[in-house]
Amino acid sequence: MPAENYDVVIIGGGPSGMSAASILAEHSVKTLLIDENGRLGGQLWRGYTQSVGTSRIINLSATTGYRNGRLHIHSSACVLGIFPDKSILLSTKAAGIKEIKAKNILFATGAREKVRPFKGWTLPEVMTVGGAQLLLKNYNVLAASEMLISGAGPLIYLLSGDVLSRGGKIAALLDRSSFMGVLGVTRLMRGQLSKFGQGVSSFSRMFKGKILPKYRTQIVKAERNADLIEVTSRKISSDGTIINGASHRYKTQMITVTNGFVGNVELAQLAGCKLGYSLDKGGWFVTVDSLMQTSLNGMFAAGELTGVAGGSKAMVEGQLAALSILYQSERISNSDFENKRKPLLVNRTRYQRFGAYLNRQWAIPGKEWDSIDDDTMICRCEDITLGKLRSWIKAGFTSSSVLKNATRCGMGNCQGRTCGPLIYDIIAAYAPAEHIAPFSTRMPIKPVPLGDLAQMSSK
Amino acid sequence: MKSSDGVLMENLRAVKKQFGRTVELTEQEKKITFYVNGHPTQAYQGETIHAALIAAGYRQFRKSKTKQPRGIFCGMGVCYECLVTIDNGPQRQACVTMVEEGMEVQIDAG
Repeated sequence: MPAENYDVVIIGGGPSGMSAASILAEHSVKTLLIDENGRLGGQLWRGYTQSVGTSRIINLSATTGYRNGRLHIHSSACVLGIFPDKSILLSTKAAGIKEIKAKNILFATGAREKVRPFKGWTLPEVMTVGGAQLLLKNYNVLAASEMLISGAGPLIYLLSGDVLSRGGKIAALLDRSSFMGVLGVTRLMRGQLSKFGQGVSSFSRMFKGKILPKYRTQIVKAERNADLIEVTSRKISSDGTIINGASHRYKTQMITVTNGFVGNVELAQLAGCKLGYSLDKGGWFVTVDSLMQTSLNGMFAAGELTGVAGGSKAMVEGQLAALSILYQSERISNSDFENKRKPLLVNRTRYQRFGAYLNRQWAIPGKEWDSIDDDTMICRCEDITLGKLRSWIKAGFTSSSVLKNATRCGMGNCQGRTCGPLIYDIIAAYAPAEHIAPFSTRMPIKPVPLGDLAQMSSK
Repeated sequence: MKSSDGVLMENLRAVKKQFGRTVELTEQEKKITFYVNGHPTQAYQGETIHAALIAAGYRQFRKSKTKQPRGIFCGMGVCYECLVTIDNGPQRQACVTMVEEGMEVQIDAG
């Protein structure tokens, strides 16, 4: 099986990956863009893109590189592993498993949502806000005709507006942040007109629908009651302690919840890129220099995995990474390079400030874990509870890898993507700070049906 | 059901858009039939299995290790809570797999 060769392989076809691909394609660099989904665009643009990469914002199929066959796109393809010599093991729907060799790799793997667990968050009627938003945006499907929306950040207001505009009902809107915290977000949105506009239209829809958000409110329990879900919420202070006083109850069909995002660092980590940890960046992130190069030569990272800050920062970083690759391969001059990247770096700093504010708002304070009951599930794949994790941590099993071996947390199908960020928080809350380390990664990075692997070895 | 923006709903799908900014329905025009535990179910070409299942009112997709009911959680290919059996083959994520005409999907909703 001969390996395919490329100058640049971009992993992830969201805002950063597509931004990089369009610049590289304009310079006819031999590029491969890989995306897991059937359509490009990432979670942000997927509803507005085709598989060949035409979106409202970026039209890859119109680039020189696409027309002269230098830009290749593999959608519905999953990277299983990366080797130090920059060869990549790729599982594609169309052609099975194949090996790819790259001179440069750009990780643009985006982010996933993080959810603050509560009793009953594993019920089938509990979904992430992003998941519900994607259903609406991509397929015009409401997760339920009535839902309760909760968590933190601008996304809960966006979903509220969209649900109401599609004829859905909202049982309640529970925001963990304070009213002042939400005001702070709007202040930082100045200069990001599209975001501000989205916010205004969401709020006007909520006003029309008579939906008043409840601030500093957190779901503490959800249970099934006949055909409906009964939700209990409590007031919560900024340091994560539950405030004594009346709890509220709601009955609804579906709960949607989000507590912000964490970067998908796993593939870059597997390749050997250095990671850092910062609350401002949403937890673990891939460290990059101003060229967007990781700790390894020829490996770049752009977008949420270098620090969660949204789609605008992702686009800017994708452009920066592409310019760096063009400059390093002497396709553009030094002055051209400096002129083009200067404004991008300024914008990047601005978006990073916005991201840092949100990431701080979203963070689950260490103290809060004390108020969460022992029988709350943490690892959804292996069904490991908070009580079990806490007792092992107290017994001295304070690193994530050791905890994983002892309890099997993070060993299931999702390979710790869902529980990992929570487990890092739990360890941080109950163990000394120097014990924080991410789960180790190994190939295949995502579960692959054995039949697919067998097919490869028979080729 | 009709929203303030005049969008008409059929079950959980917005089938007609009139005013304002709504998502495009392109590529979802063609209706197809697939089977959920043997029951014929309507879907649109170009949508994922999970969108078709949620629109048809299904919530529970599988059971966890300790036999607890589970359904769609992340909806973006991360959590593996939406694993279903397709055409008696290996289990796949319903949220990243496209629904196809005549497809037989098994969910563990018992």
